[in-house]
Amino acid sequence: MQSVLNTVKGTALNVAEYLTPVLKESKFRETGVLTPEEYVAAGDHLVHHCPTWQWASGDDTKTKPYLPKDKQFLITRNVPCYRRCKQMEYVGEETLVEEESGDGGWVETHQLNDDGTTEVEEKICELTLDENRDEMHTPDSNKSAPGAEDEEEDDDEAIDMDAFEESGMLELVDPSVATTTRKAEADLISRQATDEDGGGAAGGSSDSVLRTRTYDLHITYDKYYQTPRLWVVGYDEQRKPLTVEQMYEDVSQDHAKKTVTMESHPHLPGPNMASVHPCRHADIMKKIIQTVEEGGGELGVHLYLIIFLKFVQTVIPTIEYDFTQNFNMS
Amino acid sequence: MTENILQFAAFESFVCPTFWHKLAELKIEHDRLSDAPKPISGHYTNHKAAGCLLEVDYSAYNSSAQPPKFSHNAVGTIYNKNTIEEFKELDKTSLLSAEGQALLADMTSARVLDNPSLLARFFVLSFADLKCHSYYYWFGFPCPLTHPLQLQSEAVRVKDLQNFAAVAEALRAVPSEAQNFFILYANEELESVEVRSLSAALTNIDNTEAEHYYYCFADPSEYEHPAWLMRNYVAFLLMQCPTLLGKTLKFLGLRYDQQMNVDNSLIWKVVQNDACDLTRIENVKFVGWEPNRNCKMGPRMVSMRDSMDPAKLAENSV
Repeated sequence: MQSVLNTVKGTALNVAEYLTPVLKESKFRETGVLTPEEYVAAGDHLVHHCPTWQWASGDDTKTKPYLPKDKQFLITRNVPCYRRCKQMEYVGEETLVEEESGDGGWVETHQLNDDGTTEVEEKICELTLDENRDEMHTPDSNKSAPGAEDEEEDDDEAIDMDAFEESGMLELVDPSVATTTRKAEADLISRQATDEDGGGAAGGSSDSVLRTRTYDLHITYDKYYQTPRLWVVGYDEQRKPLTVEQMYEDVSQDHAKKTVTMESHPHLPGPNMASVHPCRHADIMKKIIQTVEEGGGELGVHLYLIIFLKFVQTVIPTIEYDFTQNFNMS
Repeated sequence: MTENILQFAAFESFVCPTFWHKLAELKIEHDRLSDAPKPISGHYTNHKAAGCLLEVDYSAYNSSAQPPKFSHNAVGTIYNKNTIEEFKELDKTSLLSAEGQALLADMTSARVLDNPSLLARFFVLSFADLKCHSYYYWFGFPCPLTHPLQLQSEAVRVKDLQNFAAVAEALRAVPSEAQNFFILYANEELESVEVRSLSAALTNIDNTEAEHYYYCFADPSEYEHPAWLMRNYVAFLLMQCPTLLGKTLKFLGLRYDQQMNVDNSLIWKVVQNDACDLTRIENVKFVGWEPNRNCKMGPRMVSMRDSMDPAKLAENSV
């Protein structure tokens, strides 16, 4: 229901965005919003300090006139995401530790085993592998089946891809082509082999290899809310795009479908993408500015995106973007 | 005998869904019934390379290519046909030849020297079934069929070179937009290492200096074999500088790992003994059609129903 509301709201906001004039004067200090120029300056700062980020120009037909042609939005690609958010939330066992004096216990969330490893982490590994195994047997990822994509759709007439094959073209002998097997596929083959031989006996050598999902993160400028906006596109281990449901597994469960919504990207063609809704960004930013100023410090507008990324991390806690920059609160 | 020839890892196409979305949009709103070939651009990365991929996405249709970070531009053409019959009946061999001849024409003219990314060449033959949201496509990576290269020794890692520190430093200093194809002059006796552009090093090549050349290229292959695009590089070098025929040539496939180190870049020492006259274009044969997932010579198909069919989208949106 929430997503329907979001869709309706999103469409209305598109109209509103069209009518909203471009912010000209800096209101960063008073309200926590950004002008396009400030967004570009903060973006330049981010690109300079975090080399994985870069500017992108997006689709030519969707160029926004209030931003430079080659600096339409920011992008970082192939950010690893090692585990699912659900696992982080449900796997941990909490132990209430009673203090001897009796005034208020505390909660220990990580119990160390004798050998120093945490039980929790091992469980996470097991879960991830099981899930991978399941994913690998879905017909979609089974590369040996041609046209596997349309098998599940009964209303489609089956398409015989063999009919397209050309016979004469292989007659040209070319000794310079290497026969290659991708490492990922080689692993898959060996894993299937161990599954068959060992009858499910765990401990095959390839099992220690953890396959990870990756994410592309985009930061666009939202003209209506006058703040940056984070977009995420996920890919599975085979670089196939994730479905919406799969993507929600990586979003903090408190935020899925509420703060994180599916909307159309302002600079890209194609289906709706997941984004962190920007309606609260300016408020949070304003609070941070106030906190810093109460401590006697001053927050430069060029740090905006670095701080922004720190607070959107709470929404998507599993994506590990490399973050070394710190800023002083006082 | 076959053990000593250099083999190349064939390019594998990787198509982002946004590529099809943009194609559908252009076909409906702009191209309509026109099926004229159109220039597109792709990209490949030599940073933590997986397989040997050539990627295309929505940006392929942009007027100016802006490859993603750590990626390099590839030059391509799309032949989008109007009907499945046209797609099927098109003479694949002559399309490949036409593409290959265009590549050779670029090699003979000075265009490649000015813009080496012309060597990373691809084309797509496609048919968009807009009603069923099915996309039929077949990638080709044209390359003249020349005599195999003799491999002089096993591939060597850059970090095993004696002057590795100097070489690594020089490689790191190459600006990213010039990393796709360049030449490294490394003279161990003079302890001199410097990077040169193709045009600077190859126009009026100095044969005594050429002995110390490493012909470098951004290598998107994860295998022991160099990527497919090195094949065009070799053909171009021998065409541009026929004096290199019969000499040992050192090729350096630049590969970055996670930490942005060049340690695992590979060096192949090869010799081409048999001349191949690529100037008589009509006699040259070409290779490069990408096999499908069954390793047969055929196109691939992808169904975009889940993200394009309005009915499906409505289903998923609630």
